[in-house]
Amino acid sequence: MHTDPEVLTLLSLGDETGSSAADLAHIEQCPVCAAELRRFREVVAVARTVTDGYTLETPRPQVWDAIRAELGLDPEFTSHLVPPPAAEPTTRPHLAAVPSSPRTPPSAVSSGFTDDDRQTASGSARRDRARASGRTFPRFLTLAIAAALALVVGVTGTLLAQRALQPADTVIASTPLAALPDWAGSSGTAELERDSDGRRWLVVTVSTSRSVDGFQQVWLMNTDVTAMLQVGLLSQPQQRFPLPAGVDVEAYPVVDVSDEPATDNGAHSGNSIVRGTLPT
Amino acid sequence: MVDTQLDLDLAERFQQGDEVAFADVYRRYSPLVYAVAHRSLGDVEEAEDVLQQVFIAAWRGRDRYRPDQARLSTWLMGITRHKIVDAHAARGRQRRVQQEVITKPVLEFREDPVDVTQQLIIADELDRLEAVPRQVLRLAFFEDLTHTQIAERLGMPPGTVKSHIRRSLIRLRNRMEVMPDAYRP
Repeated sequence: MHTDPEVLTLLSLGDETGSSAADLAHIEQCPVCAAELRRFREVVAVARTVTDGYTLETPRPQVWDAIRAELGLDPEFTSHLVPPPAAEPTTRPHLAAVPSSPRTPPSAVSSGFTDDDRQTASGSARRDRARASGRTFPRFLTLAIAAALALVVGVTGTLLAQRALQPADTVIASTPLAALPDWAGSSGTAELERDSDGRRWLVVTVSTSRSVDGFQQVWLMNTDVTAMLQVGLLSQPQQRFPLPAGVDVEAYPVVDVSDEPATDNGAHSGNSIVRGTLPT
Repeated sequence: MVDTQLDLDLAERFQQGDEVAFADVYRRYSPLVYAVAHRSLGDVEEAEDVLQQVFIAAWRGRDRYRPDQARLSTWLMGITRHKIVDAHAARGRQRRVQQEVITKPVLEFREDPVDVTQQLIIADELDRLEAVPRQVLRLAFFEDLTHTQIAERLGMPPGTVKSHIRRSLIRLRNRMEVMPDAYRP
């Protein structure tokens, strides 16, 4: 029997208090364990030369912009990944309610997705999306058009749903949407469905405890809230949103509905009404 | 070859052409690619150029990436090494070597660039460990404490310290695996 990796890793650190004479005797005559130990020793040797000064620099955001432009990537999916809440704790109070991953240092993730580094990270992310949705329009007009489009999509979706009576639409996943503290008494559900053509729909139903100030915006977020996608505006209590094929719901399982003021700039207001996570 | 499930999912989605996944991959690995390029080339603009080329090549060549055969980080580092070599060649290798011979001490000049890469990979992976295992590893690496001393210092059972060390070192070892053939341009 080969030596326990626990013993080998301790030995590689020079800690001999975790191994017995039998362990040492085995390693001495077993090429497999000796090679394992050697490999761990190499790792430790390199690691011990790594100082705290070895923090990785974050490249300037223009590099990502150039890559995106060169490859013709869809800015809707690749440009407005917002900084994690840790970077802006004061403006995104509710986002902090979702556990964020401690494995991802904010410094490494807070940039690289902005159009213009003269702006703040969030400011330029917002501007970026404003660009994607029609930069020549005044903001309110853009929002109005978006709302109208969302309405059309919603009506179409409802018509489709009524026509087909849903025999072929299968519910892939669903979740209740729970109210955030400021919106106690609100509730909702989100269902991910697949129709007979293989298209996916996000069906969102929300009942709010009071009237919203602006628009109800539906988002998909990743679980550590470092990235989010705009799904659409909710213009009726229940609405069906078609999901583009490129959207991976397993990577963005958190359904969030926020109250976005009419003067909104395209970023999340931080004022979430309800939220739930689709099981994946 | 054990990596976190999250990394595996990301790699597969990237390979299948998911643009959101590609953006995530960029965010996850661009600091590492950039750092390696910057350290090797010593020039911000050239490092940015390499970074750009690496991710353009990665996206265009994603069909050749096999998630079951190589870690995405390993594959990206393979591309990075190719692009760095190209950059050195492009700036006129001969002239540069002559300059370095003149201006740099021999020891530093002979330093294997892979070691720098590995240091950066380790730094990146250490950053990514959860707080407790990271602290355990720091004490083991830099203060030379035995596992029982670490257990006393942190007030946790020695068995827990041992398993943190085992898991973390295996992770670091896996990240450092070099697969030179992982990337074929």
